[in-house]
Amino acid sequence: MSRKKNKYPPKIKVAPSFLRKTNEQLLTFVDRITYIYKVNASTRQIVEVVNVSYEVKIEAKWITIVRYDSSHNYLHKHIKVFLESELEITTRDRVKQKGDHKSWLTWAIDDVQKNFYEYRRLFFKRSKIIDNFY
Amino acid sequence: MWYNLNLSMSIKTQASKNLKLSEKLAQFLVNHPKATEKFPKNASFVTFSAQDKNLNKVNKQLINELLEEGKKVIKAEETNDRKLPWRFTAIAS
Repeated sequence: MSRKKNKYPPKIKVAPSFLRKTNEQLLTFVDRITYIYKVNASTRQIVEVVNVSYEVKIEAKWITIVRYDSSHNYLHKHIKVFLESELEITTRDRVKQKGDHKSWLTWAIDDVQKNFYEYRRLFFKRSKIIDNFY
Repeated sequence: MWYNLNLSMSIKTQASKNLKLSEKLAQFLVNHPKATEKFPKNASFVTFSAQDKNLNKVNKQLINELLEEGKKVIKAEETNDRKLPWRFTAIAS
């Protein structure tokens, strides 16, 4: 028996394209929140939390003191130890684990917004520098 | 670095008020990804309240500071319109 030709053309797999969204919001001259995330261009679904961070301006330079990302497919937090060091503490402790990338993004933004003052206070304390603005 | 500013509110108050606005803005931007597609990618948002004129006055100074740094700025104004809760304006230097 001869094999019937497949009348349907082979399916061509098209790799999804992603959009990178960056939003930076200035709270004061010395505080800012940045959130960067990837969105599937066709479905508009959030597929990765690239960065949600709180930065402070010290001596004309923006320093990220806490940031979140979901690069390994789970949400985790990085905390800068003190100003003069590049060291960061990476943790999943008290970080939202359940849900999808969108819920992680909104949770991370919410956490930074609610706790930014405490993150700032502790960072200045660890760095042994006086906070002239708060 | 000391700022020589004539602010009518403390930095802590400004941060606290801007945080509440930025929470609303963040929710809107995450749920409406097309809203800022036409704007420059590395722009900074500065929020403006529908009610708080004092906050808006100090936030105008933030815009000036950003423009001096050479940053692109988007003014995000809260509206009282439920269908369009935010109005965006790109600010040129």
